[in-house]
Amino acid sequence: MHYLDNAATTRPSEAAVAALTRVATVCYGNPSSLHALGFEAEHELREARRSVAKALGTQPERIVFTGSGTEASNLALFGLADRRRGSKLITTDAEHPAVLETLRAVAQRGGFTLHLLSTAGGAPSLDEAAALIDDDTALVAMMLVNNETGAIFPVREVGALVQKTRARFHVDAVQAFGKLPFAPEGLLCHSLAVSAHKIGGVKGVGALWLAKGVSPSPVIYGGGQERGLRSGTEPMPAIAAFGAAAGEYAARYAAAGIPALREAAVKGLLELGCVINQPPVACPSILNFSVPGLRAEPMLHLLSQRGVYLSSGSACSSHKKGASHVLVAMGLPEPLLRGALRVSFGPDNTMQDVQALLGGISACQTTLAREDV
Amino acid sequence: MNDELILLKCGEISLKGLNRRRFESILLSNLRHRLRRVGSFSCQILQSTVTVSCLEQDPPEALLLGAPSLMDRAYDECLRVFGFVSAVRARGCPKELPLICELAAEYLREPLSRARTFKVESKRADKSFPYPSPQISAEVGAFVLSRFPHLKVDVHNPDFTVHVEVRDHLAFVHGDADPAAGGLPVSSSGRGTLMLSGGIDSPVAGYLMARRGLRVDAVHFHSFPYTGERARQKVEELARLVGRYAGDVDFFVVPFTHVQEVLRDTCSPEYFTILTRRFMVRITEAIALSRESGCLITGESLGQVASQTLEGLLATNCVAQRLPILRPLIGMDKEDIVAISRKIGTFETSIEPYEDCCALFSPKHPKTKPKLPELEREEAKLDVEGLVREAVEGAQLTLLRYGRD
Repeated sequence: MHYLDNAATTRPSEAAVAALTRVATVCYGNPSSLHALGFEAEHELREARRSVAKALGTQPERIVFTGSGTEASNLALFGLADRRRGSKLITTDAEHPAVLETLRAVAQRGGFTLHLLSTAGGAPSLDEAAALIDDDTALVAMMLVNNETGAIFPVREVGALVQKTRARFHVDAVQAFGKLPFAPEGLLCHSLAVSAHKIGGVKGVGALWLAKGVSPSPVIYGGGQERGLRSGTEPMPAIAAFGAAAGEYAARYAAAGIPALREAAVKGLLELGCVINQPPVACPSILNFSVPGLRAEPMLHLLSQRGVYLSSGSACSSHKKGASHVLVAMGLPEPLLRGALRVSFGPDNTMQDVQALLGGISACQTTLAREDV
Repeated sequence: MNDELILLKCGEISLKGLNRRRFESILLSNLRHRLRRVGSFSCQILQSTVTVSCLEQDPPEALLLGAPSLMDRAYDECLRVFGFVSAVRARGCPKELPLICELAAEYLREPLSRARTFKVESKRADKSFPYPSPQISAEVGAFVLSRFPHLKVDVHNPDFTVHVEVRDHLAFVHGDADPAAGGLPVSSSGRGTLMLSGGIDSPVAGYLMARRGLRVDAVHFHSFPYTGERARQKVEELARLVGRYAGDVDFFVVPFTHVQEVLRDTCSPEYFTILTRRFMVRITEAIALSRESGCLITGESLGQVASQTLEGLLATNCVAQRLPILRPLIGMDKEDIVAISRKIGTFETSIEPYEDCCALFSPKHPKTKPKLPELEREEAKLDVEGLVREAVEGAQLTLLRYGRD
């Protein structure tokens, strides 16, 4: 098997699975309980929070565990959008649905107007951002790394623009976490969302980083866990796995030599006549390319049959019909849109996976029906 | 309420004269087959009415708050068995007027308490019963009024109607009947082979022909890698949903990519669509004949797409050499078809968007009025028989047994 879909999800690491098993079978108490098993669980929770905070270069008390990266963004966007700060919500046209759809709902329910920065060419322009962000802005949201193209967006620069206003700034760092060196404080944002299963943890938990003094109103009410910001008994096995994964992911990622894998893949794909859909600045873990004349879906089916797993667009949106909104926004021409594929590397990948990818694409080119041009 | 019964009225099979016994026996066998999935039930037919009674206690999970009882589940099944025009839940008692009155007031207490007006309708199948129908109605009505003083009689437009049926062995009391699935019992007309795609139309066509008494086999053409495993699963799910009415469905998946590749490489592009359809019909007929099926069923509707013009239908019709092609949707508008699709519960699955990349093969401007000699000239370039044989031999059969999974 050649798993090249690490932006969709990653294989849980051995350490993560060990932590999950330990907490599910031994320290299975409720962290709120006042007996020894509860204390043990509370200890596990504290350790996991410390580990995630350390990986983010921040303090444990800044971290709120949520049920997913999407939920973390929902908490930030619903919780921080305040009509008294302004009437505008600003984001980009290439955001993940976790932010884009949430902001649409926030706009509709709260009487805001939503403005989308164009990402033509692959990233938003600072000039457009500067023109739009003003004293009537309530909230700005932007991803650090785009999940389909790997584009790195100028988050810090936008943060500096937001700082001059009363607006709040949320960053979706789900794809960047563990791959780019960054600390939320350095991005000049008020909140930042990450997810466990993209860095070798398991599905079912994410986290929201909150700057000091920033306190969104909760989306989920109940027993007051997570400082009252996210009620519900903590999913301890998944949180422990998150802690274990966060503690080792950046090192595992760095050891895998992903820039070299990417370089080899790019070279091979260009030799096969593929087009690299390359944004100006990209995170090496994500590589988007098009095979001219071919459609993405049959290629994915054929590659899957050969044990090569990748995506067209992002896994989250591939059940929606039509072309990727990110690539459309980037300005990709129609024939390239239809044949666009995404490879995303992770710590387990080797040069053999790249060879299998190139062999698979070459097989697609010889066997699959071509589009009439 | 274990002595509750279900009364099912047979539809047109009661008009079948000498064949009636055969139809009735198929109907009962279908009904019993279906109810066996729910629990242990007795089904008796008498005077064109089937009486269903439950022979076992409700299991513990049916006693959970809000959980359906065995009778609830059986009734739901009965409403989807072809061959019945109406269904109603009832209770029976010995044929004595005071007992009938008591039963009506007791069994129908809830709807009677909620109603403001009512009437009683009686039927006396057993003519030896000493009271004529109007008198039964009057007696029962008076008794109900004495128990539910808030009620008023309204014979023209009542909120609720109490029905009394005096039959050979027992008297029955019930409220208004529900319309049932109608049609003829599945299998009573033989077997048909449905060309099933992932769209809206073909599941509806399968449902409609099952309602006319056909047992349905379904054939799906799969073009891996242009259609994926999820698309195949979706079609299998559609076949299962048709099976909620049609019962057991034998589901064939035919590997079709090779045929399409050969057509693309050999024939003029404008004929691609219609030639593809001709191959589908040939392959379906071959499978049908191997299963002693008596017809092909398609979801075609006149003029809907390029291959469904009269010329297109002629071009596909004539390659089926021995079996008729039934097209129950031929005169229907899309809205009519969608309405049935929603009613039978296939619509939501039909519109799931799994990309069908067979469009890759399709020409931008397909022939809407293909001429037979032109098609035959194109096919002369191919080993038609060999391609059909290869596809039929590669077909994979899944037995979708209703209620078993």
